[in-house]
Amino acid sequence: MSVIYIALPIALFMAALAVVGFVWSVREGQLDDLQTPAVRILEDDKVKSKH
Amino acid sequence: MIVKSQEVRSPQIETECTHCGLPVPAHLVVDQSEEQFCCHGCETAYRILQEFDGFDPEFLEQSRNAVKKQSAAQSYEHLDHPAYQEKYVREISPGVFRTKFLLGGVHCASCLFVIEKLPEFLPAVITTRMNLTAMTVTIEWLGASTRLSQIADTLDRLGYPPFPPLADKREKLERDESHRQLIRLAIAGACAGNTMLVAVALYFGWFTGMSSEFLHLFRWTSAGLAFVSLAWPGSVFFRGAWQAIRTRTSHMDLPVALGLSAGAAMGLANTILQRGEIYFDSLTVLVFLLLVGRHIQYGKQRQAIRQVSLLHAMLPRAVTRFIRPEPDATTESVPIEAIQPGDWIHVRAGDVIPVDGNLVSGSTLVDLSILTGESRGIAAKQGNRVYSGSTNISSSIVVETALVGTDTRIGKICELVDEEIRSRTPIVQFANRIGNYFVGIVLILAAVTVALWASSGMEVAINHAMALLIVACPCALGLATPFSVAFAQGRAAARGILVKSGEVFESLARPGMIWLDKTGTLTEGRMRLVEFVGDHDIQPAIELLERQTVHPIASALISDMNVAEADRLPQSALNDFLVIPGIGIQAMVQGQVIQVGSEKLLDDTSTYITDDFLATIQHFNHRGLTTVLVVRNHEVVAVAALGDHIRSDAKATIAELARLGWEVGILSGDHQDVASHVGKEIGIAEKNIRGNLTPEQKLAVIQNSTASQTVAMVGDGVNDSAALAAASVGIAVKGGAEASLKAANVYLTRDGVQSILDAITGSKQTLNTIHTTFAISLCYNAFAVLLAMSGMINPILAAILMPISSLSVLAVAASNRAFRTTNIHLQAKP
Repeated sequence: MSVIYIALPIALFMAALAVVGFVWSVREGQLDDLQTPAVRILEDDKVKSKH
Repeated sequence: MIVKSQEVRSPQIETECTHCGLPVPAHLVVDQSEEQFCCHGCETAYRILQEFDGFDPEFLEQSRNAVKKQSAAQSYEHLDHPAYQEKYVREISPGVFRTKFLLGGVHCASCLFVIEKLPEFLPAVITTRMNLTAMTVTIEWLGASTRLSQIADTLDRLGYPPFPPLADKREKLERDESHRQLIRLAIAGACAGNTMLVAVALYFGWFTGMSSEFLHLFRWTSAGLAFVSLAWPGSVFFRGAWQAIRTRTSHMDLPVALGLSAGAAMGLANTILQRGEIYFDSLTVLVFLLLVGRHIQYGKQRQAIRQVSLLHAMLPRAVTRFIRPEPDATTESVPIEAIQPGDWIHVRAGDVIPVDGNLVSGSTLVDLSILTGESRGIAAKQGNRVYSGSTNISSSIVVETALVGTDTRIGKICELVDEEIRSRTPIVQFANRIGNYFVGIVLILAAVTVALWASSGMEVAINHAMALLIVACPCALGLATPFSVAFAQGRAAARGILVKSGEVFESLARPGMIWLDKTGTLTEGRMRLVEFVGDHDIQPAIELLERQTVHPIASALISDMNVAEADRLPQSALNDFLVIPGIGIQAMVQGQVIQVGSEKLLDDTSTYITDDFLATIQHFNHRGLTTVLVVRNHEVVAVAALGDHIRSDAKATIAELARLGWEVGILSGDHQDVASHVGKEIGIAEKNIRGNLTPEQKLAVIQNSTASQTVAMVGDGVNDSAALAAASVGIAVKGGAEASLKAANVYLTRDGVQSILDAITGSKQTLNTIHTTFAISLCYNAFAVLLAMSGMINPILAAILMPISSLSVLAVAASNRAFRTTNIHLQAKP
């Protein structure tokens, strides 16, 4: 059970990492617009000219 | 005898877009067409899909030329001016420029599709990225190959007129606030998740037995996480509570903070003393849920505000300026930001005057209705003052700029209104007022519990009191109102009713007094032909004459007489066309002398008029209508009456409002006779019709009637804005000035007054939902508090019961049917 003393800090550290990642993405502005990317994938890829 | 308006079509008929299935805005509906589109993006995308499997730039080029430019008169040359470029354009690398536009008309995925194809139309454009949330597009282009005005022009041709982006400062403030909230959410969420994981281990240990060593480790870990959660994201509540204490007002944050600190204190005490329960898992989850609710609320409000600001750019963006201050100098198109006091500006007939200044050349009629509410044009000649925001009606003028921007009369009014809004807190107040008693009662009950159980030992007493504080934690109460309001606000916005604060729902749900502005609200706010008495066969001749001039009366006559194509007279039938200054126009048509003009035509003693026509003219004048005489060979043969047309849905709406128990009245800046006539027509009691009012008098009427009942004010002009702000509910209707939008708590984006009814019925339902959620959470709380006081509930059970009540309340709030469907169908009476 003493493995808990290692596992718990690791778990908390990983959670902290996730939070740091999220904060980074917020600051980068990745969450400013939640609508457009969802719509943008509906666009077709560019088809080359038929000529 | 009476010529009726053409608007028989009810605004209720909703057409679906052929491409995306969304409803088509009324002004885009094409008569007798199989294919209907909600936006140009859908039309273009649909045509591409119909005719080609793939993407063909040539076809898009064709469709681009086919799509009519939105505003034909709009030129984008001012965008190339250094003053504009300085402010909005950045050079990101040598030769490559980047700018942002706010786009009008953006609607759906097809819009995005077309806008992001911009580089296909203009090869000099490198990338376009659209942001649907902010309705902005970021464009990067090669400065050497194209000008910004060309890019703007192309966007306009595609159906998306571009505007300069909103002031960076406000946008940045909003974004920063949103970022802070998201970061708080992230931390609160991480703490809550991890505390719950630890809690699982703890509960598991409860049943299977756990060595005290690990028990302490887990408890202290929970305590640490809860500390982070309360100290960082949870500090919002404590700050709110602290402010409430300092200002001696009750605030929803107070019981929340109390519950949180009570739980934390108890949990910490139990952790240190190694006994009983810790409440950290529920505390962290509580913080997280409360923050989620707040963030959703904030987002909804921001969205509504953004839509309003996009709809209303009140002043023109581009101004025609004389290069030197003299009438013969050449002119240039510059952005309004570049105008300085002393500049000479050219304002065409029909344009909005962009600055306050003096008329240096020309004479004209000015529509001051935005400032005064007066719907008739005011004459302005050389030397007179003209004001920004007013419309130049009859002929082009030159204005010497005196004041610009916020220094102008309209700018000052806008600032005043701004202050008015800032002094008013929106949604928070609403929840607070109702939560007011709650705080006190819970505190008293907690004290009573301690007193009741004091005989059984202090520890038991405090334990029960804690259980009470946690179980009575008003999270359900705190969440119920904001969620109900947020849901209703979102749905109302989708129906074209923007509601700024939750108080509106409460006020509108109870009938009271509703004051309506006349011009632009009950009427359409522009000249229309109301009646045509006399010889109808003369109409083609009138039409021919009026086609020769540009004047609001002329355009009203041409469009409303509705002379059939076949009956129109050719231009060649007209001879000796003559403008009689200040009186009217005259010409020879098919050998007859035709004169069209004001009553001054009668000053010519050779003009013959029957007593019947004289009586008709008097009757029209009494009704406040503008009369136009038609004279053929020196004999009056017809009289046309022009005036503001009453909206087709006004009468039915007033009747329905009366049925719902509202007392309806009119407040107008127009002449009493005009107001009375409109009022009578739509069925408003004579005593409630007030004409000749200045903005100050309107305000006074509202203030005097704000006694015990709801006083709603519906209006559109800046002249209404003080009254709108003072009323318990201010409702601004479409087409109104920006100031009135800011002053009002409700903004209707659809034409006509019928939306008022939607707002009222929706409010009733929303208030019902709020009451239901309140009843549920209060019943729950009362029951749980009783259990806690009688000592039958321990804090663990309290912590489990708490989220259940919140969830049930949320479910009820989400199931609110307000604004989901059209509740009332009114038929416009033909």
